[in-house]
Amino acid sequence: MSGDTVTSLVHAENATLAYDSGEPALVDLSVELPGSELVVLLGPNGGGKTTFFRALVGELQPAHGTFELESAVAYLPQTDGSRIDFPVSALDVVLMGTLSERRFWQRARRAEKQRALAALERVGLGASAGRTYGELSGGQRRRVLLARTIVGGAPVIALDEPLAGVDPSSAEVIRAALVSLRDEGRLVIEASHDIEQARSADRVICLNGRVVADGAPEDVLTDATLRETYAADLAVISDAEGRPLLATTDGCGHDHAHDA
Amino acid sequence: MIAATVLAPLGGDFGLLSALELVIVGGACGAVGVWVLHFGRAILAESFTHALLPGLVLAAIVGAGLLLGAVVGVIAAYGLLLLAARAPKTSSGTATSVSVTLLVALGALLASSGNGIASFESLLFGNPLAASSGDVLIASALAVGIAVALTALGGQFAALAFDARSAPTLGVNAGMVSAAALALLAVSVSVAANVAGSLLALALVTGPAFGASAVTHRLRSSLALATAAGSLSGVVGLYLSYYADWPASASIALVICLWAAGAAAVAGLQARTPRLG
Repeated sequence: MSGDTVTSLVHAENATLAYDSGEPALVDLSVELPGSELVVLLGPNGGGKTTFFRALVGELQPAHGTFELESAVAYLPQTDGSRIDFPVSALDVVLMGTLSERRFWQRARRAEKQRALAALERVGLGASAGRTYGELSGGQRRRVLLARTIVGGAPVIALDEPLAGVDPSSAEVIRAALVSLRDEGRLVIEASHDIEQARSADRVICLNGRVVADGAPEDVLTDATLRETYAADLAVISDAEGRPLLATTDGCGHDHAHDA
Repeated sequence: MIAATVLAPLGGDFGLLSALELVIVGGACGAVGVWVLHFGRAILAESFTHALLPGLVLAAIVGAGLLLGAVVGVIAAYGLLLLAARAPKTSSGTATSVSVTLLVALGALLASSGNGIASFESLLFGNPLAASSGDVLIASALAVGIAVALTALGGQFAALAFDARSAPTLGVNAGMVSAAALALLAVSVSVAANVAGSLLALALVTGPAFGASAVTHRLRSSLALATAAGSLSGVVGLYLSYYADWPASASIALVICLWAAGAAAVAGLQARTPRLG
């Protein structure tokens, strides 16, 4: 995966991630994630994807082992907690992603507004900057939240099922944006249930309480690995070439705020 | 003729100081009210306005300023609410309703046993006609403080109110910002109660903001309109009180409620009107 010269942005070694009460959600996690990679975390609900993200954003410390970050992380949660009745424009929402760059009493400067506009253009909503957030479609709102996530320029972008419930055209725009983020050197980590989506990533990490497999999609997305990853929840539909096409789990792609 | 109509009350019962105090307090409370509504704390605001009654009564008994009594009353009420909410098998709504009722009863009992209270009614319904230059100065200072706080914290407030779940990942200290919003609510409720009494103070805090939020689509315009509506409603209420010979606080509350209802009706009509093009 990497030579000695490649710097890892995320480094985990034998990490055990657990919540205050209950069994560990992820054990023996060892990964090195450098920049310029599009990584898909694949696994069932409760498999450890959201736990991984919580560790990534510092909400969860490893009970054992190490989980280290070498850079800032911008995170887009799977469950959309934004309020559509809040009186702000799409541009206002994206500017919230620059709050950490200035003192709390300072207003956004022109340069930050230009970056926010650029982020909106990147997700295909440059012309909608002045529109009220709540008037946008669900897919457009998801794109605005993605723009809010990427506007700060964090080297690590973590996205928890960014395409869940998104219309096809918005999904296409989001996919293109993620690839361009990867191309400019950022580490993009995306949780997903979609094997087709995982196939287009640089790297796939299958999680089910532990790392079941980690590698290039062609090596990881095998029938055997998917069965091991999804265990009893797996339903595999093969395409014409016999490749596993789809894995569905109970409630996949929907609200699972308690998903470990 | 018009000039005489406008100027007569200013030199009469309510005077310029009362009008000035209401412009300042109404504006400040209107602006805070926008955030009170966005943070979903209208019920808490209502609880505070009623539950601070013992503080007002005690201040009246010992001869301290009513504003100080209101602040102490709000702090004590919040402490009791937190304590009551920890009771087992008790929802926060139940805990709040019992606590507020207890404090209102306590205020009434204190008032009945206290000899120093000239008018318990004025503690319940306020006495905006009694403004002194000191009241105006204190209200001005608090209004400046509120304006500074709202300007400084506006971005953080917006991020937290818009998306509480993601705000911490955007660098917002949710605990600190929530505490600041709560402190602003406590101050504005106290200031409002000092003018409009325990029972009508809520109108000053939530009414202007409710109307402004109904007819605007941006935070900035909502804040500006709520401030203007709060300031104007107080003065219009005073004029209504003067010419209709109605109680001042009730007249102000009525004007504010009419503003809120009118704005909501306009918003409803706008929503029903099909957009062309």
